[in-house]
Amino acid sequence: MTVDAYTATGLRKDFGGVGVLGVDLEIPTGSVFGLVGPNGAGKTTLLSMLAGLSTPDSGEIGFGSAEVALCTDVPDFEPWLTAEEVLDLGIHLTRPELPPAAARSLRDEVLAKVGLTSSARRGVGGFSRGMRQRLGVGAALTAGRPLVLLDEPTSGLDPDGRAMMLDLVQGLRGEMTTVFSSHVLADVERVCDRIAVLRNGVVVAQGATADILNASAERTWDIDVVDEAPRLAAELAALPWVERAAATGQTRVSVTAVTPSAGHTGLARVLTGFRLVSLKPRDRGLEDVFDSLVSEVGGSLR
Amino acid sequence: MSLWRLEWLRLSRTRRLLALAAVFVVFGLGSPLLTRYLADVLASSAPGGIKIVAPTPTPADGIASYQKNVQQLGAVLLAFIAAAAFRGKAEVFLRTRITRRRDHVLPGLVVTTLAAWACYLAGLLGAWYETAVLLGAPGTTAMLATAAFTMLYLAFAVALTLAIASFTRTAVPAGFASTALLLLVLPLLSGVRTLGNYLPPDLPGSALSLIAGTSTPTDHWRATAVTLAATAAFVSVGLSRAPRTRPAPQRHPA
Repeated sequence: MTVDAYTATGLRKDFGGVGVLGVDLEIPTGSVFGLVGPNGAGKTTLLSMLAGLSTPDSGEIGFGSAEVALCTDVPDFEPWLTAEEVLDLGIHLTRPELPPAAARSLRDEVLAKVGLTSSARRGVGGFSRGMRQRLGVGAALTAGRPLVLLDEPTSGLDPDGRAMMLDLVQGLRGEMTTVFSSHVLADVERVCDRIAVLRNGVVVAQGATADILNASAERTWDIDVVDEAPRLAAELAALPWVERAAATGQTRVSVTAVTPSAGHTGLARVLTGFRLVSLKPRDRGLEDVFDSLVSEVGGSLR
Repeated sequence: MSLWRLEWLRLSRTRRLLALAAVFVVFGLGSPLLTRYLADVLASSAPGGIKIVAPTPTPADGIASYQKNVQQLGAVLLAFIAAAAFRGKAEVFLRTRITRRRDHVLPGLVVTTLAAWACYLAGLLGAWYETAVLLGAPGTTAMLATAAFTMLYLAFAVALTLAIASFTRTAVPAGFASTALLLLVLPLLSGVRTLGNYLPPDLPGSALSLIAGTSTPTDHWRATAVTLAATAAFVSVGLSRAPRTRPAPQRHPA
């Protein structure tokens, strides 16, 4: 089935006030979609429902579990199987129509893609966490399903393992639709086209990663002036459209407006009375955006 | 790789099959030997002045001794091996890939039962040979009936474990619960005179009377019928509780 987006509407799984408490998702096909949220936000519960492992209390999932491959955060395999056998079994179960030669070729191709060719005939029981996670992603890829759900695939990995996993996820763009769940915002920012920010079981923001970053970035500026930074900061702080203004030394002021447009208009007026050296919108990372998003709905990230 | 091969590898690579075979064969070779020489061993170790008087062991005693060991330690080992097959580590991997309920259950059920039967028969052949050499040859018809009844009992033990495992998250509780039923509850209930002839333990326990000629296979029809019905019921419980992936798309009423 070809669709423009995978959707879920009003999804709810209530464990007494926690869990997933009404989530709408729209995941464009071919994208890498980030599901971001602190521990306990409901990411794993949501993925579990999308994969068909648990039944929602209410809501609608516009696709079936037969279209989904799930890779859990620490994939469990029988330790006495080799990596090759795990993928063979997965292929046999999900794509029984493949002729043996094609199945072997797919298995070898995926093993190479996840960097496990040299360990293909080793028992999975001796694999490191990173190797098991890569094998889990490999098993999801061999399933031939158009939507792949990766639950915290970089958790517990060393820097090399994390870089390899992120490259792998980035390589999936366009090939299949990937949902990448993580609380490591730098990872999500690096690989995801779109994100949904989940907190306390609800989505507090959803959209293109760049849009969400830009929207927040435009509210804060760094202003360099000649000698009068404290006076400028005091003047700005008294204005109703300014959320926060602070001077750093005699030449630098940081100002955050209540809205991007208020900042644009207001700064143009105020700065006419000062000798301006530079005016730069602050480049904020997803982590800052996330902090402000979760604090807007009450409470902090950590 | 099919699910059938997965179950075979589970038994062979984890050495569970080896352990099961070793236990049954050791019992098969050891039980008639112990039966034949138990009185001599006791007499040689008894303090002076004490005379050990024991009835001369019969072929029925030799086979019955093996059967008792199968029913006890053999069944315990089998319960844990079966529980491990029904509650493997790759649960999520399999649940998200298998669509038919029977595929979750049948390979483990069939392969474990066949392995139990093969190991039991290997032990029984050893016990038959040694009994024939040491105590006299038991009747072939009685031996065949003993084998058939015990194989049914072993299938019942595996099915019981399957049903229990469908209610537990991991293998160990299922193994313990199944062991408690096979080793404590059923034998205790079998001690009740009116119930004993109807319960599964009557089947492996029938060897003594069958080989001694005091009962015929048809005398055990009640226990056979109950065991068959219970086995079928436990398998259907296991099947009905097996996970299944959902069809698409899904709508859940509020």
